[in-house]
Amino acid sequence: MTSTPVPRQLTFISRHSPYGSARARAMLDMVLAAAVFDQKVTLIFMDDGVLQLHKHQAGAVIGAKDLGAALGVLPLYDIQQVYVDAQSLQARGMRHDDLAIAAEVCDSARITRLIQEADAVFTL
Amino acid sequence: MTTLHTINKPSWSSDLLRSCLRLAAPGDTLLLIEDGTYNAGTLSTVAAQLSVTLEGLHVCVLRDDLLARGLAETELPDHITTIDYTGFVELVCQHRQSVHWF
Repeated sequence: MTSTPVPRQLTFISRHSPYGSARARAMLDMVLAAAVFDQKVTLIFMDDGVLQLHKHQAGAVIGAKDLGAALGVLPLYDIQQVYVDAQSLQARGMRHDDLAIAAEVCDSARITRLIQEADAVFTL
Repeated sequence: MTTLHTINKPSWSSDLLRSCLRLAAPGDTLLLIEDGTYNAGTLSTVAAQLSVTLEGLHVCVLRDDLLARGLAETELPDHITTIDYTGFVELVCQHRQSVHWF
């Protein structure tokens, strides 16, 4: 007899810049793995994590895979719940139209609610 | 639906405490661990700078990490309580989810 596990609401908060460490890439791997296993995924970019979304990034110049392009696969994994912290964007001189992917810019209160609604929260 | 937030770096070298305080909700617990224990003395000041209130938040610090760094339990502000590793596990169980700021 097989049973289908109940999907859980997994919320990921990505807080680090794209090329300074392996954290951003590792977070994307975690997010995609969760989606493959049919979990309900919410992805939030805050603090330096918003820098991953810069549409003019060109990782290839430094021999790295372009993270902005890699994030473009999120819709293919049916990950629609993507949020960006407005305050973090503003602090880094970025605006909504600087973003490489479709994402909802939201305030702190919204992120607090997303955390409260999660079954588990991962930060990296 | 309360959340346990752990913080492991001081506010003068990272944004962890500020980001956490911005998202913490009444009923949540802040647990200072590792180098995050240095925040014990400056927590109120940082909160005031952000115009957020610590009221409604339960703030605790992991005793071993505090003592290891030469910080005295007796000098902690009244609103901060110390816990041991068993207390840490209890906090994890008492909250719906944990957010680790590291």
